[in-house]
Amino acid sequence: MGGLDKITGPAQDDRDLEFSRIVGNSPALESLLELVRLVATTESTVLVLGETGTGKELIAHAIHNVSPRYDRPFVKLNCAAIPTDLLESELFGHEKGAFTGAIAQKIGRFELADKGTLFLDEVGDIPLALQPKLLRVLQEQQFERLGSGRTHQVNVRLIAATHRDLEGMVARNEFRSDLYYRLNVFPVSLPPLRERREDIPALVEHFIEIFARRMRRDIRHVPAETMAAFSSYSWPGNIRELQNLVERAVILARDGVLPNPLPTAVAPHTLSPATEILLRERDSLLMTLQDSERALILQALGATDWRIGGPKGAALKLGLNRTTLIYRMKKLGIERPCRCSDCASVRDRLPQAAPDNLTTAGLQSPA
Amino acid sequence: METVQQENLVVVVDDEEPVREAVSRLLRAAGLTVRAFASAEDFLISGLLNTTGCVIADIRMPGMSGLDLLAELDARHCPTPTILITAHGDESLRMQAMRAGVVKFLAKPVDGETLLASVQAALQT
Repeated sequence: MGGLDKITGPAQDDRDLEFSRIVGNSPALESLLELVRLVATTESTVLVLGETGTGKELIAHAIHNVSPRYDRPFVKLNCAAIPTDLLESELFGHEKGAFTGAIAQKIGRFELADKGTLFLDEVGDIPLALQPKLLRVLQEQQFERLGSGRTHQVNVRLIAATHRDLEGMVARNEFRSDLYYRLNVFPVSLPPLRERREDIPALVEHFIEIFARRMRRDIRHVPAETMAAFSSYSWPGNIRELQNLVERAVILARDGVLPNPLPTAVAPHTLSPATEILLRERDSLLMTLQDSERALILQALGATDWRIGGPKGAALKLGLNRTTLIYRMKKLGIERPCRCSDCASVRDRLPQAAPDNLTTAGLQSPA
Repeated sequence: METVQQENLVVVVDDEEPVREAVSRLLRAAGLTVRAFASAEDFLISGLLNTTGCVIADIRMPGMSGLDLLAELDARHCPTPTILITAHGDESLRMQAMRAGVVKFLAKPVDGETLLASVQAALQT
């Protein structure tokens, strides 16, 4: 769908993207890819719009790969990740001595991307003062390095991306209208994951394969309950959040079974935005420990066919007393799933009940 | 008996022997372990799928194409990073390839430096 370069080479996220794959076949994705196909073979500037984690960089990469520039550099810059003072130098380069600390000449991203594609992520974060220079290079393909009067001519195709409302920023005078119109030649909107839920199972399988291979784990089974939870979650962080949760689940997996890494009872996607924000804030505080504990308990219960007590029970596996395990299960809202898949999907959508409201029904060992 | 370092093997699949040999030579000179095959079918029956860290294949080959190979690797749950050698005019094939597997594209004639950098990235993926 990264930065974090080490001295020796690109970071994992970069390598993942270098060998990228587009997963899914939902109508929303097919419509998007049709637009990608249409615009890729042109020289036009593309503005990729979408929430965080929807894969804006992957789509930019796809446009580059399909374009006639595919064998030329694909250079990227996240404008939000660079301090404002350094952004101009990153984009256009500088000469030695151009400013305090400029101890050597630096080639900017526009020069590096010559004859190729430059992907400017979070373009809405480019400061107003720098926008005229960006506009000029887009219109004339010309610029000067900082500290130099020499004009450089480049041949760069620009793909810009943002999750911000550029039109609103223009209305508030936070973004130049002429630059906005120059960038907005061919806007491509990426659907959030909640609008392409059909693709979730394929994405889960895809990420399992990647992480299982990387961690040398053998994941043989994804329980229907886990997949139902993935499919019904609202995914505010979109595909990146899904990827991270699958990675967590692969780490927590035991006996080849992928546990459900989502919070106890995930928020149904029909909640109001305000409620979702509140739940997200609460979850961000509680998620790590609770999640890990829940995943471990579910793992043990799965391995013991939901037997709690006795020598073959989950309590012994977890090193807990039977009553302690029952207490923890109540607290975390863990109930034995009904065998019926409809019940499982409905249960997964229920909001988390307070421990006092939970009954112990279904918690007892069948033994 | 031949032994290959786990998942660090680089496989070259190209029906054109001169290309196959040149690419293999370049990779071996960089210290990589390489096996070359004249067809995707030969590679698939080689028993080396699980020890392969990177595949370099021509997208256009008689019999199974590079695209077919990518789909087969996916079907066998071997998400091996694959470098497809393509030509201008293969736009729709490149789009199909991006949906079929974990892939990167290089143009013919292959630039040695770019190829090596891509293979190194693949082996770390």
